[in-house]
Amino acid sequence: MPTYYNTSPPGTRAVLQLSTGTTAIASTTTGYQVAALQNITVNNNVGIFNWTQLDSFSQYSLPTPATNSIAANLVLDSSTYFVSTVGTSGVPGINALSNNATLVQFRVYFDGVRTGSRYVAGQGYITALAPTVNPTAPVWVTPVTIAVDGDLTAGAV
Amino acid sequence: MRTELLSAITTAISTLTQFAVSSELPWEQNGMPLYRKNMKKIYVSPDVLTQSALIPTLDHVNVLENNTVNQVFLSVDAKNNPTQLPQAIAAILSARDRTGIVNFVTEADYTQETSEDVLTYTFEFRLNSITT
Repeated sequence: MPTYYNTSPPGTRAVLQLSTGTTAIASTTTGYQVAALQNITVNNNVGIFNWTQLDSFSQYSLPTPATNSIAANLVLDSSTYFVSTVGTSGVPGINALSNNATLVQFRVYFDGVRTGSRYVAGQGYITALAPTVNPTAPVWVTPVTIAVDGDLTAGAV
Repeated sequence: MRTELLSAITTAISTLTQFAVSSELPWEQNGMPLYRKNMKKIYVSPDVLTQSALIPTLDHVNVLENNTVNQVFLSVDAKNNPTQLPQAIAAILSARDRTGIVNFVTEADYTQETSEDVLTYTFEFRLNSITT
């Protein structure tokens, strides 16, 4: 029987961890975990160059460098969104990270931050913030994208 | 929410001399609801609260929606309606927009039923708020 990544139990939820600096995140306690994520998507889009030849009925393809990004939606948390440092992490909130175009290090955990939990990691820039609210859902929410600089690397805690 | 609704309705009908608001719950006496016995008196039922996740989150700190339903009862003489009845109905419905009541979704409507010589209005207020 297959073993799925079940994010329903509290200990195995999907987590986005952010930090700053130029070195990859080394620990699950580095920086902070983004609160109130509604969803998160890891995008690894390998570019493909296609061409056709007169001697073939099918296209030919070659890979080109990938465009990687992390896309998420979250509810704005007053303790983490606008603050100059989140808790004692020394890492600014998401709004400041975006405004200052700060290089962020990140990990996206697939099934919690336990020993053995899988994650993808990388570095990039936070972009595409667009906080929005409406009368029938009167809580501010925003999309957020991390435009990845370089490779996504997979690992385990 | 019943306390706030009671207060809002009391304020809303304060200029209408033919009606009053009771702070008692609409209980029954000898099989007859109090609002049928005491006509032209407005009764507000207790809160019925349900809670659901308005915005689910991955870390289970959901944004919760509290849905409170209150019923408001008013009975009048079916043969000779009080002259201020239309104003009373409008005033009761307007309570949904008063401070302390209005939130992100507030709805109010009513039904009416005639039984023997008593015309009973049953208003339903659906008052939603959120918990984060």
